[in-house]
Amino acid sequence: MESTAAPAPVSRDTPVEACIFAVTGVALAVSLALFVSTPLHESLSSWTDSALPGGVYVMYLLAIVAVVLLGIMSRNVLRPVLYLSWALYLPSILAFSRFDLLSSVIDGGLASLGGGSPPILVLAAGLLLVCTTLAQGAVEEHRALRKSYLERGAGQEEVDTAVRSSLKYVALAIAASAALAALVSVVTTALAYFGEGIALPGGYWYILFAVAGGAVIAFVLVAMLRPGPPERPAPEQAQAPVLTAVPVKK
Amino acid sequence: MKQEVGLSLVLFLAGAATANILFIFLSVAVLLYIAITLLWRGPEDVTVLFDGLERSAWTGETVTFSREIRADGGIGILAVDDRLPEHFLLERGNDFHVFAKGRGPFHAKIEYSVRCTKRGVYLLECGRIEAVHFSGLGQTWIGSCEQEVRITVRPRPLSLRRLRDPRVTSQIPMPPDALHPIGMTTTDFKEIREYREGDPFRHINWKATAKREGTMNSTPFVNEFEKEGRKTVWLFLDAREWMRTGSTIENAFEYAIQATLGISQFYLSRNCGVGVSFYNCHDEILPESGKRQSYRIARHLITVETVAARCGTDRQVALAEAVESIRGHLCGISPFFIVVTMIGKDNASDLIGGIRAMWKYSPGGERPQIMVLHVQGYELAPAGESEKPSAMLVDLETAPLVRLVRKAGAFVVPWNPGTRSLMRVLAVGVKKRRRGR
Repeated sequence: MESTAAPAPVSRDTPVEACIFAVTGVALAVSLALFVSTPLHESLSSWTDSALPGGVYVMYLLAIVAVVLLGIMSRNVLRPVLYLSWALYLPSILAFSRFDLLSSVIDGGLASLGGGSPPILVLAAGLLLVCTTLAQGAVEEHRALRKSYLERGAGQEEVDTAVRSSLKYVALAIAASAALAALVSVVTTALAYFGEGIALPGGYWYILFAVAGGAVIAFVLVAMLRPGPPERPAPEQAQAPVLTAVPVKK
Repeated sequence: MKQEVGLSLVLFLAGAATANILFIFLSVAVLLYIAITLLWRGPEDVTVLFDGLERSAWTGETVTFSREIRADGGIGILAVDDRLPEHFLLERGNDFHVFAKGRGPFHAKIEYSVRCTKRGVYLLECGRIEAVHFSGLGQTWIGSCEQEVRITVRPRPLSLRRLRDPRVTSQIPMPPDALHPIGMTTTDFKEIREYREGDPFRHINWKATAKREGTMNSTPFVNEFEKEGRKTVWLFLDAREWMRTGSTIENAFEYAIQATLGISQFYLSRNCGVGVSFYNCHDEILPESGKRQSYRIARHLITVETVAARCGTDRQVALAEAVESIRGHLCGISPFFIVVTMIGKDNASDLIGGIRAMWKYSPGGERPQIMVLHVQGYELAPAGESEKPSAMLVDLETAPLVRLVRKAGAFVVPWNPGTRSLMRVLAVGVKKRRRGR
């Protein structure tokens, strides 16, 4: 006989799902808007307009519908939509590459495909996509955790509360990291702008950035390698001070 | 973690390959996310406060457990799992809880009730805890306490003392008289006999001796009193695997144990010596009287299992062999034999052989008092109303076997635990038998 209660029906936590849907939708819209402002879109537009005026938008719509259908079939709508967003975003960001592989093939190189948007806008869109990717990863992980807890017999309400609270901190961490990354970009750009004229010869400003990047990587490594509690200790090893058991005196 | 590090690496490599500063910024954003989340640890400094390391309950009783969980550090999810042992039925609350651990200190109290459905000694792992980092990037810590809560679930004896009907009060048979060489003398008068060397003078019946005056024999008469523990009851509990007929909780064996406990307590409370043989496995408790014996039998019955679980099927012992093995304890006494079993075609011949062995060791070839309590296990097996007729039919098939056992010299009391109480069955059944005589 089973000693635990029957598992509760597994359903999705609606507010979290709604948030992640909204963020993914915004990311797709921003990527599409960036893509529409690229020369690649103009080329596609002129190519399709000969057959059907405004046909390029029909093509985008069909692509989005196809991706959503693919997502529904794979029971994860958001992941393909996110990949599509990254795909639409790529021409815009590649336009800012200093090392252009396509310059020898196409006139104007990568800039002729994706140029047209201001760098700050492209960076903001990129940060939005990174945030969406991180958020989706966290939500998927929490969804699996939630399902596992419900299957093990935990109450749905307390699981939802715990998952929501945990995701709140994830959202906070994502927002903080995006803000810090934006700050780093602004500071390094400013340093590059001022440094170029004042102290460092042109092109060497990125040394500063490399130092800053190295510091961040070192910081992450230190945080990751920091000694933590042992993983899955044997019951006889799991004792004070990490977990203590004290009988209540009556 | 893999996903985040992978994303950061891809962005960084893309930035390095194309000398694109925007890719590098995006890579830094991911790295910053990892760094920020890892600055906070998962829930730690967890303390579990629990009530009592030793618990005791009756079979079918509801027990409430409570735990207090405290956590002082970290952020994430705390999952507390008590892992109830088998045969424990959750009645109220939940033994598995999930909590959100925020930045502040955490405190929660868990309380749940379980029904102890089967006798035995169980160990309850106290508060197995999973501490999950809020982002999933940190290690999930799993721990449990060193201490375990020990729960002893005792079989509830089917009380035979509560018999209120005056017409049947005296109908449960007592063991026949038998001389027992040892034991304390009680105040119960037995008979007057001639004085023998060693008899205390205070037992001389002067009145009866005076009446002898003038006869040739001048040996005085003495009063003989009953010896304590003189009357002996031997209980034979069938521990064959097929006694498990029924569900894991409600089966013939569980009822047989309750009946054995009830009957033993009934006779022990009447100063009889009670011995129990868990036959098929050479396991016995020698006859003694008093509370200590009652405790010994009860303690043994908490953990007793069927033969296959204890000895293996190749070491099964028949009832006759069980009687043979205790023959030393049958010398000079006429105990009351009670066999608690479930009569079927597999054990009918074994039962008859056992009854013959009981006859064999009866002093002076007297007819021994043998009662077979036949637990109708098939009646416990049906899962619903539709299966009941078939169970009844199967049970009817045992009727000729019951007749054979009766013919061998035992008095058979059929008992369907689902419908009738043991005391009623014993009282009424024995009464009928006496009328029949």
